[in-house]
Amino acid sequence: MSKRLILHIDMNSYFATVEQQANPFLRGKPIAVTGSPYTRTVVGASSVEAKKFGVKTGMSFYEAEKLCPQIIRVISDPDKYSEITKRFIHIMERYSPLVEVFSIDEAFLDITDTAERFGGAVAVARKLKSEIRNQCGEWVSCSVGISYNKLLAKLAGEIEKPDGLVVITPGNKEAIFARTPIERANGIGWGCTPRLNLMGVRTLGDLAEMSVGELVQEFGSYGYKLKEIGLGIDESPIRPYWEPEELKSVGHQYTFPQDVSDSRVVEQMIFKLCELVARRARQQEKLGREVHLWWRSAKVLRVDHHKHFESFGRQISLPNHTQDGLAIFWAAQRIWQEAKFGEPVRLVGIVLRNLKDPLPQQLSLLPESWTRGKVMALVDKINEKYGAFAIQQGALLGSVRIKRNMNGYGSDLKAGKTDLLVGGLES
Amino acid sequence: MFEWIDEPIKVLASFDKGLVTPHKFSWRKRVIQISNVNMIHRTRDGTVTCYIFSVSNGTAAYKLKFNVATMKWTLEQVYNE
Repeated sequence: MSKRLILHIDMNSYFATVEQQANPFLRGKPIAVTGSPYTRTVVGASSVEAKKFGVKTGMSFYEAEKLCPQIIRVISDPDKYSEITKRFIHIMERYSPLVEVFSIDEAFLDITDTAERFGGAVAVARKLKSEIRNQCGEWVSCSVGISYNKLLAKLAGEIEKPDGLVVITPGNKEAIFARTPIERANGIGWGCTPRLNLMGVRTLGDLAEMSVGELVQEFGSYGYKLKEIGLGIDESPIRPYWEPEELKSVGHQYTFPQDVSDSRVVEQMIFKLCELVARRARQQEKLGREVHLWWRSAKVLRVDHHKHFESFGRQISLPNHTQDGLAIFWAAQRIWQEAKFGEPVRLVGIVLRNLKDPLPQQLSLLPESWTRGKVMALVDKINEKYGAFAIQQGALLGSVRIKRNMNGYGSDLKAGKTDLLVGGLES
Repeated sequence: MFEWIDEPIKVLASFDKGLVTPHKFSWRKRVIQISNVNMIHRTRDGTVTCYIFSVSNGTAAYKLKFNVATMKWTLEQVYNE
């Protein structure tokens, strides 16, 4: 079988670099891109200069400031990053239609059938880098990894940062694996790493030498996947972003700016999230039947890389499939009220699952349900024109105004993700 | 530091082959020359498309918004060291 040619493009310190491109006074300085200072927010991205002080994605701005007192806070601008992502995806498409958007700042490109036309894989990588600089800005750079599958291409892209270009071939794979820590490979997370370390596995080379039996004994069926990672095997195809993914669920979650003790405020937010979930289900032309509500209390259970908060959740199946926010809310409200939760709440989320297409559908005999469908369609139209919640249920008046957080980017490119929301008080 | 302004401004810009380039603008009775257009991106205000121009000169960086429906310019933000 002929080898595939896969490129992995990883934009370096993406949000921070884009902000430095937009504002030259931030260039060469430690900056942290965060949400609004009036909400509970974390560092979403830090510049190369801030990383030198140990500032990492996910830490609070307070922690970042302690490590680097001169750090500059920049409030995130989602439209800016989406625009640059669309621009670099468009550049990639000139070399092959097989572009998989992995996240807002990462993408795969399959050039197996087109590389020769452009002078080979390395030539394509160099051209991409140069065009990205020309069209996205001179400060915007990317690392490119080239290999014969997605796993190795991504690994190659991670090796040299910023502005790297690394090729992994069957010839140099072993040498690279012998010195690459296991946690650098996609698919080996924080949960697996300490357990593998205890088994004496520190590099991908060590992992390759482990027997499948030992790995399956420790990790169950995931042991087979780990063995494949150790051997650098990955047959997964490129999934072009324009190919519709099967939507399995629609969800929204919201982190309160302060912990909330008032159950009515939590309930109002649940209602708002249900409305958003229903609206997305209608946009995607789906009906759902299973409502899953979960929430996180302010109580910290343990601290490692992150704080782990106490979480609760339950799901309910509705009698019929729906895309009506009110019907979803009644189910979620039942879960919330039956839980009789007395602790302050930090985060609340809702997911609608068991989705199906609206047709064929048995029509209701009740005329009021026909009217409701028409009203929902009209409300969607108005909100699409004048902005979300321009028109809304009376019970939501005075509720917290919410908008998509920076982590929710790319959801217009990738369907089926739970959107993260941030808020401020509704004016 | 960043300062949120959100005030209407007058802008001298060239429109050429689909490319809009702001050259200078007047704000609070001052004329500010633009030496670099560092980034242009789109945003939406309801159904209306707006273009955001991130521009700078030797002393400050500015964010200008151009609303294509009203053809009006707004100075959104200033960054001074």
